[in-house]
Amino acid sequence: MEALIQPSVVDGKAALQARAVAKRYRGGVRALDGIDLDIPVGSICALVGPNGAGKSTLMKAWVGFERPSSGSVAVFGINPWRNRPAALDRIGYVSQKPSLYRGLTVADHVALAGSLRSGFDPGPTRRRLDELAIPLGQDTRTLSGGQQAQVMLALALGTHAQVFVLDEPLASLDPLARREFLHVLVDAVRADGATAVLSSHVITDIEQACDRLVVLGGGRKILDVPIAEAISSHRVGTAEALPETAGAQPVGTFPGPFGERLTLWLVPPERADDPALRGATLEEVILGQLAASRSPRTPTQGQPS
Amino acid sequence: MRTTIRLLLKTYRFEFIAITLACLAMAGAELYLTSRLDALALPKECQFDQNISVEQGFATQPEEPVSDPTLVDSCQEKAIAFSDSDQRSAVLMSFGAALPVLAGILIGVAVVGRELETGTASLAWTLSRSRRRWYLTRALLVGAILGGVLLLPSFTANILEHARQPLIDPGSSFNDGGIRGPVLVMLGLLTYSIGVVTGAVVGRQLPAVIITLALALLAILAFENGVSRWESTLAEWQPAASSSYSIDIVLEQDYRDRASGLIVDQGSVFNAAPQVDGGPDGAWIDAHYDSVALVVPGSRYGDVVAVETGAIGAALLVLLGLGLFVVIHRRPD
Repeated sequence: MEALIQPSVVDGKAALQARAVAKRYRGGVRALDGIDLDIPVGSICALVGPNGAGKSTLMKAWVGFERPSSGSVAVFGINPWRNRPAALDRIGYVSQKPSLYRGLTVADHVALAGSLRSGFDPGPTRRRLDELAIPLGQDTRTLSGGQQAQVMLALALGTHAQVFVLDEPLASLDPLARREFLHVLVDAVRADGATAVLSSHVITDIEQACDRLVVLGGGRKILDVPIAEAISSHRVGTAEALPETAGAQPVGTFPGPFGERLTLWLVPPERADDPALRGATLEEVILGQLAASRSPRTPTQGQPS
Repeated sequence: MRTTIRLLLKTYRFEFIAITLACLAMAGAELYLTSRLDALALPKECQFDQNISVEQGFATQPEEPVSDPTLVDSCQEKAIAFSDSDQRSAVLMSFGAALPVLAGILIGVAVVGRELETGTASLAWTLSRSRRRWYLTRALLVGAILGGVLLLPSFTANILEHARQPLIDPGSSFNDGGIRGPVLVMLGLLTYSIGVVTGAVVGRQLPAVIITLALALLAILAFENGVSRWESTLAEWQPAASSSYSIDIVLEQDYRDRASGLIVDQGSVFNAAPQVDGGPDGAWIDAHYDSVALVVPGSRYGDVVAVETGAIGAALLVLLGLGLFVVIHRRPD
């Protein structure tokens, strides 16, 4: 087994890695454009970006669903395209669209997971579903979108994988269901010492659950920092405001909630008390970074994330 | 494994119920017609169309005319009733030949195609570390269940065939040979495997059904063509009187020159024969030539079925291997 894994090792320090990953679809559509990324072990990382940024493509590359056109991806150092079983052994995946079997009950899905994956732990999975008041005997067709997402998450968590890849699982959920989903995810990941990557457009959810932020735009990595650092190192002011802080750098200008133009500034953390600027929210950091990625160069078109 | 089988049966319950009901209905209808034919108890003397020799062509006269007048009347009455049920049986067996093809397409396309269409492939392919294991388990188990269900109508078709021609052993006769017995099951499994591969490639059920139907018809035509060519290599010359259209495959009728032993075609013999009343002299022909037929004897039916089964089995393995290749390399959506 060691001989099989060894040639696939890229680095081995991060849970998930991408090295110069590019993905081009037929017709020249470019979804990823030379992404370099390390997801540290133990982090809960938010993958954020507009539609077409390449989030889903990157996640699917990690689970072995998309083969990069160039570059390489790795799961704990294992290339999923060279040693898919070993890579998948370490991954729990929740897809964008709940993909449960029509006509099977929740309990059937738990049994299915047990039959497909050695080491799947049905006990905690059933308990978790029970705590969420999801009846095991219920046909999954009759479950709400939130319940279906919870079943998908429970099945993924039951694998006791080392890293969870969640591709916009919150997209169709109401606020309460999103909150419950994230609560279950964070609890389980922290308890197992696992790693998680979560793509989402809902910034408040990310702020609540994640400790690291990766922003993608046009198939490129725009930002990759801990969330606390992302907030502390940025300030916001109106487009006309000029900071007094030496070394402050404008990042990007974007529309505010009332139509005003706001500018995101990158400031040194120790010089964060500039009176012309206020603290940035996570959403403003992301909007400013995305605006910056669009203005100087035209981003390439990608597949919908 | 028990859980896997239970979940497969539950996942494909619509297909399995539909196929099982159709097979039960077909088997029931075949057994019903068998009982009708058996109840007529056509006496041996009346079964003059059971073994039509090549020399007699398609004549429906007994080799030895029935002399008993009461038996003649009885024969006529029973023969009409028998013929009526026999014709219904022929129609039913034709439908029976289509059943495995339709069943194979219905469930074959769903095995991978539906998983891709509904998105469940992404769930299964991340839960299961090995797509190979996932694919082979379901493809082989569903195929085995389908084959088991199709055994019933293929078996009852053989029974019905025997009732239609009571004097002939169906195991030694090519009559209706392609629409009964194990070949029927194998044709169902062939279309099943075509459906599996097409579903895996296309990833959408409805287009896959249409494509599979077209491919299956082409495959069956190609198979029948190949079998016919191969069967001709088994053919041997026999006295025409000993060959039967109802049992053997008669490929050719000619004459053997008694002096040289050479086979001569009918036209040459008729040209060489003296003309009597505007036609060739039959007595002269009989004196110089033996009427012979190139036939695959019914006794080879078992051999042919074994080879056909093996050939389709090999094709099945190739197709399932192709499906495996597609499943391993394709995206789940």
